[in-house]
Amino acid sequence: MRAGTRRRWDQEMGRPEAMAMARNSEVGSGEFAASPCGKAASRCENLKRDFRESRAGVNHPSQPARFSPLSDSFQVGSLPENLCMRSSQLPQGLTSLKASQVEKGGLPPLGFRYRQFQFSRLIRFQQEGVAKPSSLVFPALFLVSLTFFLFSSNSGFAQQIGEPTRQHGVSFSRGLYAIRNAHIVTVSGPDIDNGTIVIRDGKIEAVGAGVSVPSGAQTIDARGLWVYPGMIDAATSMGLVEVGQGASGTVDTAEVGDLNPNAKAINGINPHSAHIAVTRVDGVTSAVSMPLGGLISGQAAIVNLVGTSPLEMAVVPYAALVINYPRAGGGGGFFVPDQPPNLTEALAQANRQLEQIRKMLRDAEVYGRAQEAYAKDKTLPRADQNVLLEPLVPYVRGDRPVIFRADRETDIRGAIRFAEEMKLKPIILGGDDAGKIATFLKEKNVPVILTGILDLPSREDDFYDALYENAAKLQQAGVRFCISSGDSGANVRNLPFYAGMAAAFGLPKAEALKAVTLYPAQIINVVDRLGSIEAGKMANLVVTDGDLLETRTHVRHLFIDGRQIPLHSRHTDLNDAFKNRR
Amino acid sequence: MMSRLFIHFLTCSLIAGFLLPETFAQGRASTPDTLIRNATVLTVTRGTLPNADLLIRNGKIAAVGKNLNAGNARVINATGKYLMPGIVDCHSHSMLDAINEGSLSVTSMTRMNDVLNPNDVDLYRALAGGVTVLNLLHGSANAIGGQNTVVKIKYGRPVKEFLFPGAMPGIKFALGENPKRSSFNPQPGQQRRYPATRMGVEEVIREAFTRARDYKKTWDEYRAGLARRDQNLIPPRRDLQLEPLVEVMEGKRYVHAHCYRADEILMLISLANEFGFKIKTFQHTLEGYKVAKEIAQHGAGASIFADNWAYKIEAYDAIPYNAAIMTRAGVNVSMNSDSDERARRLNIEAAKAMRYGDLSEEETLKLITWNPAWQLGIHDRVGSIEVGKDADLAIWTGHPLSVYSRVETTFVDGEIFFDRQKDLARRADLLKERAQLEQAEPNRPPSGGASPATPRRRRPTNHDDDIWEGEQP
Repeated sequence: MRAGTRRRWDQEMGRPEAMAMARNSEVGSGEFAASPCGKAASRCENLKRDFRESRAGVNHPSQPARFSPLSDSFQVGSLPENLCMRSSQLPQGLTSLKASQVEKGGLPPLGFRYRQFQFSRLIRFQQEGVAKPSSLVFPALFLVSLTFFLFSSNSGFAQQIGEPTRQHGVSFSRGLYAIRNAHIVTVSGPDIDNGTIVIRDGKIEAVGAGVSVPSGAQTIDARGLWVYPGMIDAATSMGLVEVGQGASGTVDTAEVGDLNPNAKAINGINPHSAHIAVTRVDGVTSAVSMPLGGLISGQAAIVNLVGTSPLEMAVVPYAALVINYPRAGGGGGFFVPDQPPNLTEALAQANRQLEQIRKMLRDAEVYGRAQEAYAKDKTLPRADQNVLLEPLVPYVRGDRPVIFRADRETDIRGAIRFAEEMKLKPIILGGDDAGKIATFLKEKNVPVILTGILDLPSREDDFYDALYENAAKLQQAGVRFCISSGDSGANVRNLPFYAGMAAAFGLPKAEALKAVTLYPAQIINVVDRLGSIEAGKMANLVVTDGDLLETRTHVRHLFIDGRQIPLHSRHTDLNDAFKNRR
Repeated sequence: MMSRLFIHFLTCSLIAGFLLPETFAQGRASTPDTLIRNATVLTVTRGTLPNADLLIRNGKIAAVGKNLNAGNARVINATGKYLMPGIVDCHSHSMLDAINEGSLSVTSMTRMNDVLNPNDVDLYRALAGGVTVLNLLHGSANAIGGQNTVVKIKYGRPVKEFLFPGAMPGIKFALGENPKRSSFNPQPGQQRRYPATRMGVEEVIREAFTRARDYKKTWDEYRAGLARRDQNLIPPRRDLQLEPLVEVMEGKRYVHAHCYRADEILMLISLANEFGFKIKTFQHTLEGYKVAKEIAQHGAGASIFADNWAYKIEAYDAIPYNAAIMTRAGVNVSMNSDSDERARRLNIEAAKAMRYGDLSEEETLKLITWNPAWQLGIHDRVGSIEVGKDADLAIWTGHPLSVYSRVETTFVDGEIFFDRQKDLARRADLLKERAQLEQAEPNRPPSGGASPATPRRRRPTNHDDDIWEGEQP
């Protein structure tokens, strides 16, 4: 429902205080021009969610599955957009309903049978997918009034703290959009001044200076604004932890034991984590979420930061294996002993741990061959399915990358040597010393995900900017790299400032931008879909009022997977609730 | 007779002067005068002066304006660069060999002064971020912690030169999860330390101040008796734990109270009002935005993180709009680091207040200069560029609130303690020296016998709060 019609609806329902609240909570930026329900209609969104869930989930038996778990696209949002209907469609009798009647849960004076009939029409609509606005009036009114009754309070539309914020249960739908008159930073090519981007069905359909706007498209006038591809953070644990200290129930980062290749991040991500919206409203639209701990931590997932289920979020559910390369003195596990072990002991232990990994990978390779052989020739003995080894097979065959967490020079070299020995496709994660061995990395053609730009240099005699200038050193040597926050979730939104700091210490600004857009997409193998603004790619776009990496910049519009995402999060909600407290 | 005394005094001081050459050899006399030419000067309190010069004499800002006469001052060409006051970090644990005396809930007798370590390399790294003054606080393990120290980062000098002359003494309080040790399990067999709840935290502070009030009365009565020349007076026993609290009640010691939740902020305000003192700053105060009006009414300042949240339960409602909401409610807000890492980039942390809440550029610069200086009672000396103030300054390659800017030079009391060009020039020699040291005889591994111990990692940089690193090795 457009914001304006919401006001008229309130007026007609005789709820002046609700009208005032709606006015106060409206933001002038027009960011909700394209949203089906106005900003103040959280209950409306709750309604839609409730209704949708009451239809026995998305895979309703009477309708075909709208998405398959392992595919990239999905189609949710089969509810009619105009469930919150326009008041101009109200039959005359309803406009005279008194507010008190509604607040008491008073229903429109309709017969039970008629309501049933309207509901069944609504159900048929959902199945057939045809918009029939007028048939929705009465059941919608019933639901809306019911919601008013259930949720009305003295503060009217004020968001209750603790109440799930509106983005948790909502699926934003794909649509046809056009962003016009923008300064487009494509990243993969030259900037386009005064350009247009057309978004359809989740993809960038067209981008350019002379692109025409298709009819029916919702347009966003981006005059004076910039459009960037959404940023990608290649090393987080997004969704795997809510509050690290004191809420261990929300911590799903590290499994027990050292060898957990079957611990898949996609199975631990909480799509309703408050971190997700907090992160995306600042322009980070996708992330690699990875398990932690142990030697083989598990499998990372590449996710978009939107979706009501992990699979809805998933871009690549099983994207990379994560290994903490065993190092002397730190161990592959998380226990750092009080007494420093003697060096020989420490080295021996690191070798033992490496041998454990080696053995498991070798077993997986053999297992893979055995299963393949059996598949071709059923006379061979059948090997049982093995939950640990099964997921390792694509990695040991080099079909998918293996991320090695390694910071020190010896560990980076060791990890690359190990990957060569086991014929893996390595990516180095961390890379604090990578700048020192840039030539080696270039020669071996191993990419690096830098997470330590804003860490303190680990040695006392390291130069004060050793980590700040790491990225510049790699870029100058031609090493493939990207910049990540390395944060578990809460501070991933600071990703642009990591790149900005690298730019302050030698990395060219254009490279710094690529380091958080195109380069991570290349390194994690999703560059066909993400990382730049090109026709055919997923529509992950950020519209800003300035340089994406700068501190003063604000995000004005946000698209992920071609869905317009409202710029709300737990933080904006709390801000709205308290900023005018006098 | 008076003149003989005077001559005695003069002679003694002259002799003392010769016997203690340091008093003459160092200090302001050795600081060269400096003219910083043609910078964009961000005064913080008097607007921005483009293409202006600044003259430093005897460690103070002697003049600010256009086309100043250099005299015999060395000239630093700052064309195209920005000059701002040195950043004041209101919550730091740098250069401390110990941070928490965690064995008691009230440790007001402990002093950070006693554990200062001037060799902390992170001091240099903070200088490289434009920070010149630190408020070194006790940790947050105790409801009433120890006494703080305010220092100027004179890296390379003896410890006594770090101490900020005339800074108001302060003391650390802590509320919430940390003093009630909610996330720490006692050793087997040990009883959990009191308090375990927020109720107990209030009680600990109340009890300490009740005792302090009685202690003060005892001493006041004794002094009154002395004044009346009463006979046979016995001085009361001194209590080093209670004396700082008496100073708090007499307004002679600032209270810096670590707190998170809105209710505990209100609790402390009420308690302070009851005992007749004011809280000077609420530290962290991540829910301060919920009670901004009460904080403003009390007259306390707030020293906060820019946008850290969700690392503890009590930080779950933290929002980056905190600075803006509290500033607009009239609270004096500063951004702090509470971390050797973040201290290097407080300019970026402050700048976030422009993104979240749209504070103006001047309000934002104040968050790391004038405001924390006021919170520490040193705003007459530092925190802005004004004639007569200490020459604590930093020259930046671009506007300090831009992510692309970095520090070129940092001055403390007019002396350069960080210079990027000099730092870069020394690197080749330092690398050579390191290589030589690695080859030197004492550093070679022994040819036989027991293998050496893996060197212990140096003291981990302190995060009082805020960072949950998960299971990363």
